This record gives sequence, structure tokens and C-alpha cells, in this order.
Amino acid sequence: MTAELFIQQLINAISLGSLYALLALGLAIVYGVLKVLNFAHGDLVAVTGYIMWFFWMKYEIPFAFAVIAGILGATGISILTELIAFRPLRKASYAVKLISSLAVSIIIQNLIRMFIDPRPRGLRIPAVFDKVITVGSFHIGALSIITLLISLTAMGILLYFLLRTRWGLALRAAAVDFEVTRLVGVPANRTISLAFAISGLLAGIGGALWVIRTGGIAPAMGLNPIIKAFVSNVIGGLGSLTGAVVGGLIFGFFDIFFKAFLPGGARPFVDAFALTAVVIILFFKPQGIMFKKEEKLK
Amino acid sequence: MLNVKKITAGYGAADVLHDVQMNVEKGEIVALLGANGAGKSTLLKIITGLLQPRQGSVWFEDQQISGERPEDLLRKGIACVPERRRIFAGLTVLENLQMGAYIERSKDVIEEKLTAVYERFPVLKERSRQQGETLSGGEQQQLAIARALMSQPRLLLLDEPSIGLAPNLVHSVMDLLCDLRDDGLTMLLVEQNIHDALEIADRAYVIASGSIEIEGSAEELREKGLELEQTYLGEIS
Repeated sequence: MTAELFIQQLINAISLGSLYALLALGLAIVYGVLKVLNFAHGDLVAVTGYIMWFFWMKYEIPFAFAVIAGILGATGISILTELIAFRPLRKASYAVKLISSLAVSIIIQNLIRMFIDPRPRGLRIPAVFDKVITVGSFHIGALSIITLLISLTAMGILLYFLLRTRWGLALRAAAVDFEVTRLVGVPANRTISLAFAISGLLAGIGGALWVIRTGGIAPAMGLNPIIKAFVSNVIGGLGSLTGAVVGGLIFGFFDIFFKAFLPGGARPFVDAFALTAVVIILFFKPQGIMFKKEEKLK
Repeated sequence: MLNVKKITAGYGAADVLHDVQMNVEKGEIVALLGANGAGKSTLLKIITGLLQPRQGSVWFEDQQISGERPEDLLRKGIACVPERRRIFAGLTVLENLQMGAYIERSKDVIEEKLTAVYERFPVLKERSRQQGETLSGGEQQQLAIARALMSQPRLLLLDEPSIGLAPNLVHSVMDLLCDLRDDGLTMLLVEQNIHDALEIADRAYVIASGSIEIEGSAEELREKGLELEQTYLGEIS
């Protein structure tokens, strides 16, 4: 392995990892306030993809606008999901909420099958994303750089929001102890809606990058992103936002490095290798990498 | 100031509280004593709006408040120090205090309250940048009380503030509550630790199996100390 190749792949790994981190953060924010995994989170990626396809491929509205429409669409659907599938079940058990989110996922997928197309479709991706940037002897895909910049910007804005604003503070407090957050006067419904809005926004941004990366859409396309997001959360420690980011980066790193450096015949099994590596991490850190000892006391 | 009228409440099929009747007058510390599972915390959940009663009503300053949401009750002046402190781990001491003043929007007012709280709890000022969970048990209890004071309540509900604290720290918490009463704050003190609670309370209620069994002045109840403990509190706390 040459140093150049290693650094190129490292940049690719951080880029893909930051995309996983974005998807994982969306899942973690909702988990933080509701303590439920939202299975429909991956389907927001599909929602983004189909809205992009609709505007860009069908009506030839400029790509950037199609992307923005996709992101806003995912945000809207996320807020609606909370209103329809979670709010009426506020007092229900964990399992009931989990199944409700699964139902949302199935409904979204089948609405796509019924009203749009049950088969996958291709999306023409603007040429700018396929460019290769060459600096000296380094060759980096423009998509890697764009993914990295957008993911880091989104995470930076999220961090600012969480650390520096009143609502951000309330969201962090709610993730620690929802009941006490209510006792200090934070309205429960608004906080949960806010978490879903941010989660949808992140799924939309991550979803747009995902669709650009894969170049296609399909009704059940949300499965892969939700698995990546879920595993990233598990690696980092479920419920920890920092953990979601760290987990996403680690998982992206595994993905790229196994893809790049496994012998040809083993490459179809990249996911198996990556998940085995995750199992090994969890063997040593069963609560995830960011788990702190003090938290046991709670 | 606070009137609890014939409250029946519970979770699922079972009633935890039966016909509970009690009141707290302005400027008093009223103790609500009982063993684990007697229904003390359930009653607090009703007063703070986290749980709705099945029957009966709660009145605060001649206004019916049962059915209102916690944030509205806080605006009316009722704050709560939850059991086992439950400070926000992962948030700094300052952020914990800011959360206490969540309903206040004016930065100047929050600053003023912060100054007042730091004056009363100098250790919190020293540690303002530290994560809440790095504080000692006694300091965490101070933080939990300070957080509740940030909303400038007129009625403070305390759920077992002495639990898990060493005896000398229990005394300093009780002294603090006396100071707060001297400053005009009304308090409902829920405790299993009847000795310390009766030491500072003006009046007390004893709750067992969801019903109020005894009520009286703290003095009367202090005289019955041992009997109370054996009859209603099960174990010596």
C-alpha cells in the first residue's frame, strides 16, 4: 500500500463516515427524547430520493432545487410521522412505538410502490460529482470532498444549535431525563417535534448525498442507510450524539478500507467483514465506545 | 395556598391514592411522610401535572390547577426538586441552572437569578463549568434545589431531598430549607426520614397505602415519633 493510496482512501473513509454520522445523528436525536429507534428513518432517505427524482428527472427543475425540495420533504414527513405514529402512543410501551415506526416504514415503501413505481429507477447525477480532483499525485473524487464538506457543515450547525441555543439546551436535557425536563417547564410535544424535525433534516441531507452516491432510487432503498445508521449508533453507544458521530466515522472507515484492501474475491463480503469488526468492538465495549462508567450509576 | 381535594389516582388498573386530602398554607413547611410505595411520589406527580387524577382536584391560590401541564404550573409558581436529585448529567452546572430558568426568556432576569443562586450556593459558582455528574452527592442536591429555585417558585415541592446523603449533609439540606422558609418560600417536603423532616416542618401528614392516616402539627407528630415509625414507616430509616 502506497502512502498516497492510503491517504486517498483515508479521505474517502472520513467522507463516507461523515455521511454515516449524519444518518446516525438523526436516529440518535429521536432516540434521545423518545428512547425508541425510529425504523422509518431510513425511508426518509427514500422520500428525499423520490422527491429529487420527481423534480429533477420528471420536471427538469435545477438539481440544487430538487435537492432542497427533497430535504424539506424528508423534514416534513419526519414531523408528520411523529404527529401520526408517535404522538397518539406517547404513553404506550417501547415495543408498541417500535412497531408503529415499522408500520410507517412499510407504509412509505408501499405508497412508493403503488403510486410511483415498484422497480428501481436511475437518477442522472450532474457531472460535477463525478469529477476527480488531482493535487500532485493525489486523486480524490469530488463527491468525497462535497460529502465531507456538507456533512461537516451540517454537524457544525447542529453542534452550535445544541450548545448555544435555548432549544438546543432543552433537547440535550431531554435526552438525559425527559420527565425532569418537563418539570423545569419545557413543553414535551414541542421538544419531540423539534427532535423529529432535526432528525428529518439530517436524513434529508444525508439522503441527498446517499442518492447522489448510488445514482438510483428504489422503494426499499431505506434499509441500507438505516442499518448503517443503527450500527453506527451501536458502535458509539446508543443514545450518545458524540457516539453516533464516532460510530459513523469508524463504520465508514471499515467500509472503505475493507473495500480497498481486501483481495478481489472477498470484496462482495465487505459488509460481513465490517460487521465482524463491529462485533469485535462490541465484545470489548458492549455499551459502545463513548459509554462512560458514571452512567451506570443512574 | 395549595389544596389537594379528595384525590384518587393510579396507574393502569390499580388506584395508588384514595381520597387524599391535604393543604399547605403560605410560609409553611409541610411534611408528607410515608414508606416506600405509600403514594408520596404519585401525589407529587399529580401536583406537578405529570399525572392526571382520576377523581378530585388540586387548587393553588384558589385556582383549580389539576389537568394543567407542568410548564403552566411552573409559570404559576410551583417548582419541584425530584427524587434522587436527577440533575442533568452531561450538562454543566451552569447549563443545569439555565434549564431551571427555561420558562424565563429575558437574559437579564436569568442573570439576576443566577447571581442570587450563586450567592446562596457559592460552591455552584466555583463549579459552574463542571459537568453536573462530577459533583459530590451533597453538591448535586444543592444543584437540584438551586435549579428549582431558578424559576422563582412560590411553592417548592421536594421529593426526599435527604435520600442517599450522609447525616451531616442531611442537616445542611434541612438548614437550607429553613433559610428558604425564612425568605418566604412555602414548601411541601416529602420524606421517609421522619426525624429530620419533623425537626423543621410546621405541620405533617402521614400517608400509608395511598391514604392520609394522620395529620397534625410537627410537634404532635414528634411526640408520637417511635409509634409512627413502627406503624407506618415499616423500617427505621
